[in-house]
Amino acid sequence: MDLSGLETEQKTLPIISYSSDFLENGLPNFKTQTLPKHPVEKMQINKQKNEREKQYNMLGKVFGSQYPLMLRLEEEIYNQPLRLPCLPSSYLSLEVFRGTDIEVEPEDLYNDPNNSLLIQPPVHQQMEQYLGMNDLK
Amino acid sequence: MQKGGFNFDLYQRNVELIEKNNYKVPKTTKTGTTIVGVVFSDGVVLGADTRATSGPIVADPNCEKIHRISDYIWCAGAGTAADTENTTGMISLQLELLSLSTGRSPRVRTALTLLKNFLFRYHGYISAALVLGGVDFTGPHLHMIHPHGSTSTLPYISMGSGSLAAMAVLETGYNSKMGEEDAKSLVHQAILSGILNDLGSGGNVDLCVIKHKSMEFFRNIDTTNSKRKFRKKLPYMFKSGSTKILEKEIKEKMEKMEIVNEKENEIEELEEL
Repeated sequence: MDLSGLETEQKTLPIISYSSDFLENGLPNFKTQTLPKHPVEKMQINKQKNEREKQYNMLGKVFGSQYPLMLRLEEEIYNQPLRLPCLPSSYLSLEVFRGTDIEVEPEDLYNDPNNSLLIQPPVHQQMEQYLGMNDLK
Repeated sequence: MQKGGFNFDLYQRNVELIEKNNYKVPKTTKTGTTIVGVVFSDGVVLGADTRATSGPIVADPNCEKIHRISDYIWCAGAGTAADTENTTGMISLQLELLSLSTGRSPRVRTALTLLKNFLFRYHGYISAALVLGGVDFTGPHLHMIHPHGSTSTLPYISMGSGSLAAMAVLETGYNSKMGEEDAKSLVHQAILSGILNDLGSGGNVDLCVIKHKSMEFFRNIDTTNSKRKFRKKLPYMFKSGSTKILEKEIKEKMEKMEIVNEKENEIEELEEL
């Protein structure tokens, strides 16, 4: 039974961000980013990262520190997007490496982003937002 | 990037409602079900009632509460119907993938671990109380799983709002050397006890007998409690004159009148000019 997702005490200040594109995303509202989140949501955010870190630590102690280094390198290689920017990559090798290719989560079944009711902004705009290029300076 | 899964957007609004607006949090509804499982010499018998309630109303008088996880691993579920159905469906998917990738037939213990880990991740917010039973190559197994993720392995189990009534029957009648017929009748009596003594349970009795490489599902094995004895013959036929006439008013049919729009005529005249 993994309790890694339960470590939810904030040890650092929350990183507050806002986009300068007020027409698209509304005026900056810092309150919603500092308010407490649902306990299950907090668990979901922390769980996978903590679990992997713990596993790497354990493997390092058992097999020596080079082994997790090798695994991290492999994971970095698989994590690279193989398509042109703006096109989604499948990351199949990463899923096989992590063992999540045979796992089915609620994220795969419910609330598919492709079927969401909200109209997504066009791809170029999403890319600008991702690169932080939409400042009005 | 947007991710699927559960949506937590309304959590902050709910917190504010509770703190500032003195909103009364709706109480957790009791699970309106009776589900029972019993281990006998060759296998496992699962039983369930068939009533699905939505508050005080019976939403479905004949629903199926025993779900398939694998051919010889079945699961009876109490709690929110959507949670039990979708949880058992997802774990059945995962178990199938696992058995295909390992090349081995699935074990009840694997299904138990998958269900337990899944429910624990959601801290009891997924309200699914399950009775998991099945026969694999290690023999017959029966487990109970609570919504928070705790499990027990027992020879006889009852869950749901009718669990006390059913447990009374099980405690009286259970013995470890039972055969198939004794186990079936014991489960039947336990479910009947739940149906008769608990408001949230009702309808018919479903049974599921699982033995080594064999599964028999007795859907609606007992329907005596759901047949309504006194039913008026439809359609309703009233004799003419059975309702008293208080007032009478007859309206004449109006002749069709043509309303001519004066402005349209003016525009036409201007266009002609």
